[in-house]
Amino acid sequence: MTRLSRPSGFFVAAVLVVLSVACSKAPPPQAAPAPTPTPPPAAPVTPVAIPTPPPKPSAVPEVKVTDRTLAEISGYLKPVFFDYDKADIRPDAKDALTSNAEFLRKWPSLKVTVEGHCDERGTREYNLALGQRRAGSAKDFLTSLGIDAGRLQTISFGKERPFCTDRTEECFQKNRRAHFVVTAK
Amino acid sequence: MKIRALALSVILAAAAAAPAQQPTPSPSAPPATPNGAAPPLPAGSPQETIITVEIARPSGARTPLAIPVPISPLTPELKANAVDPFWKTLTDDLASHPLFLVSDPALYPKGSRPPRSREEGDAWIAGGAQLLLDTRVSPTATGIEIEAQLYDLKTLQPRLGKAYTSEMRGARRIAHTLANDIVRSFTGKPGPFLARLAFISDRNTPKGGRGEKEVYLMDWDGENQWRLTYNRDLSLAPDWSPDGKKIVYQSFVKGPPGLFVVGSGGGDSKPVPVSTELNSSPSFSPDGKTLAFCGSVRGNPEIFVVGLDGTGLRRLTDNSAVDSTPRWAPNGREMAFTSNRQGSPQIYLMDGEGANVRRVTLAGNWNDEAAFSPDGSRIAMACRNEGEFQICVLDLLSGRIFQISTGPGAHENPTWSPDGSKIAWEVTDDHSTQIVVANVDGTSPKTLTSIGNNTSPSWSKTLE
Repeated sequence: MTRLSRPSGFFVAAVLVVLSVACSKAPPPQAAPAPTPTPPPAAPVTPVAIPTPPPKPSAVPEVKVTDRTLAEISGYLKPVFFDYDKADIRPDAKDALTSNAEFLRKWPSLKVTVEGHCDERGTREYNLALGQRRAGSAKDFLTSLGIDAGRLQTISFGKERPFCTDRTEECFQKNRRAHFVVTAK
Repeated sequence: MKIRALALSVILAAAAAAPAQQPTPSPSAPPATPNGAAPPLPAGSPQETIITVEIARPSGARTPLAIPVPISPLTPELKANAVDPFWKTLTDDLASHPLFLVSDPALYPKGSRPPRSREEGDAWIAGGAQLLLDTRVSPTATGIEIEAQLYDLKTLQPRLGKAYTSEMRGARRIAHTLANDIVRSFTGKPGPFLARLAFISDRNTPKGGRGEKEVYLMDWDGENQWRLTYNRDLSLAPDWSPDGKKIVYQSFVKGPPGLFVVGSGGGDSKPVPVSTELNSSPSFSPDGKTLAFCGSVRGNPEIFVVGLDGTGLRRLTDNSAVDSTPRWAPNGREMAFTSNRQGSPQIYLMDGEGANVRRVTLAGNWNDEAAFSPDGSRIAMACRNEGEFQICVLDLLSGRIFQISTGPGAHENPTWSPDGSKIAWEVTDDHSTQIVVANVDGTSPKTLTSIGNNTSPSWSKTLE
């Protein structure tokens, strides 16, 4: 049985670079400290701006992916983010999935594992099921765009492999995701 | 431990105390709630109802018990390897049991062992004891012998007399056996002190590793922690077979997660071949022949049952919502599971064929990870109204809910000791996740683990 490639430290780092997302607690202080705004009351989970990749010449990068490592190729596939206890594809996720579908159409030999992840607020066991639904939703969306289901395997990690461990909504949002890992080129 | 006699009355939007409706036609892809709040329950069943969550209070008076240091020859090796571990284990076991209160050793009278006269008995009673557990540790050719007498200090009659032999390193096990025998002499059934816990730990994940987790075992008091699996991958959700010989768990060792069964003494894990994806949260049926688990077909998690050899796969639920975390009831006819089919994740019951689905938790924004008490009358669960998960116990007959955990952190994954007197669970704070154990009323909480993160405790189901 083929063993799935999993995110290595390098891989995670690479993805984070691609996303321009820092998962650190405190950004470096700015030169002129602006008056610190009091954090808004914790309650409403506002839709968090989804990190977008740095501008690229075109949606589908002009690279020969077969020259790249699996981890590097995975970096071209955009993660998809979800609302709390939801597995529905949000409007902002449709753009990412459409871009991923375009990429996968361009490189038809690629096989991908769609990982479902959850934030830590749900229980361990329930989150495994919820993560499966998230991975399934993302896979369904890709197949609806014409990607062969046989190229897409789903797996749920629940809250076992978080991308970030701060207990903030920003971090929770990063962990409520479907994440794409290229397993064969 | 201080238990506040406090009743938290919470007003919650909840279904009235009537069996929940069958799944409402699933609102396909309900609009995402941008604020992350649990969506309202579907119209119809919910009403504004007052649900009382009570803080558990200790019930019944504890009998004060004196456990003086065992009488033994003054051999340093015997003291270090047998007398001290025996005495500490015995004291910890009985002090943890709701029947007893171990009285203060500083008040024990000198001599007077065993008490032969009314005067000597009264000297112990003056120190606050009603019972005296007198023990003697002697070396033998192959190990040790431990004799024990339990005296009622009012009558000076021995209630129980026992002698045990073993190798030197068996001293702790003798203490657990004696503690079980003492509890049995009061209740007719042994205490939980020889039952063990399976759990998941990442303590041996190499630095920079990918978060490997393995199945471990330990005694109920946190001693004898040892590693059972060597998959070097993610392992989750162990559950004991009813006879204590096997443990089923979810493993990612082959990539896509699957169900595996391993002997409780170690050895190779055998996969349970199933065609479903996910394959999480396995639960042994009370007859030990089948497993309930959460499987997924085309991305939708449902409850399945399957034979240990992978035959007879059957789906019990069919709902577009999340259905997860099945747990067999001890009667073998019903199981509990979690579903968000009516909005927020709540606990439901159904029979072993998937029929007669009914919701049992009516309050709170998330109730999950049901665990039946060994007699089937109660369900322990992770419960949440606001803030973090706590551990609650739901009495199925009365519908009353008791919160047994307190304090910060997220509390989840409860499991009952096989005698029904204790519950263990996992607590996540800002630093790590560790396993705690307490009496069913929440008294005498004790953290059992400290190295790495330790989760998903599962108590063995046999007492001896």
